Amino acid sequence: MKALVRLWELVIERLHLKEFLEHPVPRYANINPLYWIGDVAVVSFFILAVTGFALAILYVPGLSPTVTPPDPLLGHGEGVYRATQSYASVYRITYLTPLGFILRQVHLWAAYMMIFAALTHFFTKFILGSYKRRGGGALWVIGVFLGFLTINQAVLGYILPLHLDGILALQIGLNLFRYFDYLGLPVGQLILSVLGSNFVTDQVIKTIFVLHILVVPAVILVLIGLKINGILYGGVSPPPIKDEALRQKALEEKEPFYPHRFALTVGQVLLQLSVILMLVALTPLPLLEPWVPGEQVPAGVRPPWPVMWYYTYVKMIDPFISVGLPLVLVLFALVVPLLDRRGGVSIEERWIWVLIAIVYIAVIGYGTVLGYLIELPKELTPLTRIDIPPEHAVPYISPQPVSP
Amino acid sequence: MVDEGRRNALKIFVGSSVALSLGALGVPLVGPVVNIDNLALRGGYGSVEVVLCENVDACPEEYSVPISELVNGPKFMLLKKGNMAIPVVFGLVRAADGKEYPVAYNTICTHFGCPVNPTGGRYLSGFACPCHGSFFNICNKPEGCDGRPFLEAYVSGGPAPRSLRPVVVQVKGDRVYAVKAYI
Repeated sequence: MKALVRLWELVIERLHLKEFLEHPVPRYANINPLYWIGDVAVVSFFILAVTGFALAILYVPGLSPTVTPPDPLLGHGEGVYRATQSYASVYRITYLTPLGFILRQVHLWAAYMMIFAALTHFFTKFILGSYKRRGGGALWVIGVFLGFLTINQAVLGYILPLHLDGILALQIGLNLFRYFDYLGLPVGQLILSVLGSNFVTDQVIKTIFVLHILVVPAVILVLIGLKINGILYGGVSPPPIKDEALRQKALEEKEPFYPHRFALTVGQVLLQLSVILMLVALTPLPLLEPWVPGEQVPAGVRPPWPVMWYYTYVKMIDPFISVGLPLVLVLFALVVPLLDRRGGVSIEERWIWVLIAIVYIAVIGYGTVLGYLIELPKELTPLTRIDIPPEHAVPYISPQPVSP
Repeated sequence: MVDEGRRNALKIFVGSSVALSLGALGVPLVGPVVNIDNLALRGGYGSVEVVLCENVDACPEEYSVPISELVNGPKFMLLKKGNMAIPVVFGLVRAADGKEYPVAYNTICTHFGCPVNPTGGRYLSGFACPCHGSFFNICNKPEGCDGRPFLEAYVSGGPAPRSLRPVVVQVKGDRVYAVKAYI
């Protein structure tokens, strides 16, 4: 026992963890979720990494049509559903591997929690005006990139099982950027030439797999490291108090990270794990239906909630207006620290920016709610439709009758 | 002082990026107003030509469908060339003049790239996109439909911006061959 304690002290000392544990943290940020909702996203990321390791080992990417393995639990024999190899492997993980169902569900719910926490974190920092402190702008820009990568990861992961909705998401991803071609920028054709196809193939799925498990997480990890470093030495965002003296007082009231804040963080991690397990137990999400190319696609397919707002606007409004909406939102988020520079951080000094933040949320929220609530009109109104000249570059089929 | 200069540089950089992207968004808006048909920019936008075979005689069987099968209804095929897969629906269109024409279309929706479902029964009459509700009608009048050429799968509803990309077919013997595709 004494040796163990000695070892622990040695680890703490030699890895310079003592400095980390004694790092002064402000008291006002301890309980208030405005200041720690970003931690939830980071913890979710590590839960996703751990479950992702196991899933990556079990998953087999591939498009070749196979039949589902026999399932004694559901009482069906071999070959009941025709599906892609990817789908069959996810089916095997979900329903035929011990604890596989829980593994996949934890991965799914942690992903949803990460997106939700990241979005909430973005809006809280928008409303708090955290980018106004020294170094805050850089943290904000990193955060916008992280948010963008988080949504990317979600979409890539959604594609991998190659269920019907996943393949549709992949098709959209492969063809969406071709709108740049209409502007004379060959972005879509560049993607086409890199991946070799604008329809799902084995090569494309392999690329998506590598991006999802290796490339994007590595970039996310580096950016998270930079952000933690920035917060460690630049401090937590200041409270939105107008009175200078009061704000300074709040900022100077500090305590070491260990033990109080450390205990809170551990509690937060455990709470988060139990919330995820509770979501898994109470609302397990089934594996969606299989699809292989050539089959009829049933009508009424909807995307998952993180991109529902985009679906709504894309379906309602002419593509030449609506397609770039996410790009506009990201670009706007990037320039916010450059535009909002006057005055302090309190709400009454920058109410206009709080209003803009609320409009920003409302654009996304309105589309999300609308996507779930109403059946969208099939015809576009004249206001939202732009007529482009008919394609003239493509010569049409030379008619050649085969029978009277 | 130095900080100010940096700020200004950053401002100019970001400002010009935003102006550029906003300007780019405006291009399709002025497109229909200003006649830019003759500009090189427009040439073949949004479509890439893929030659499947140089001529019908050199065409492999995997790019073809027997007409006797098309008589029963449209047929889906995944045409593979190298790493590329082109989803194609072959079918027969019954024209207004009573003749049957073999056709093939790339079934990637021109709106957002979802696979479209063929409509009509034994004869192909059009396509419907399940994702965002675009409809494509195949023009079956040999003289053309409102300026659209014969056999063009034009947009009859929904948000799609342009006609479905066609596949050029030729008949040899009792089979229909896909010779050239547009993706």
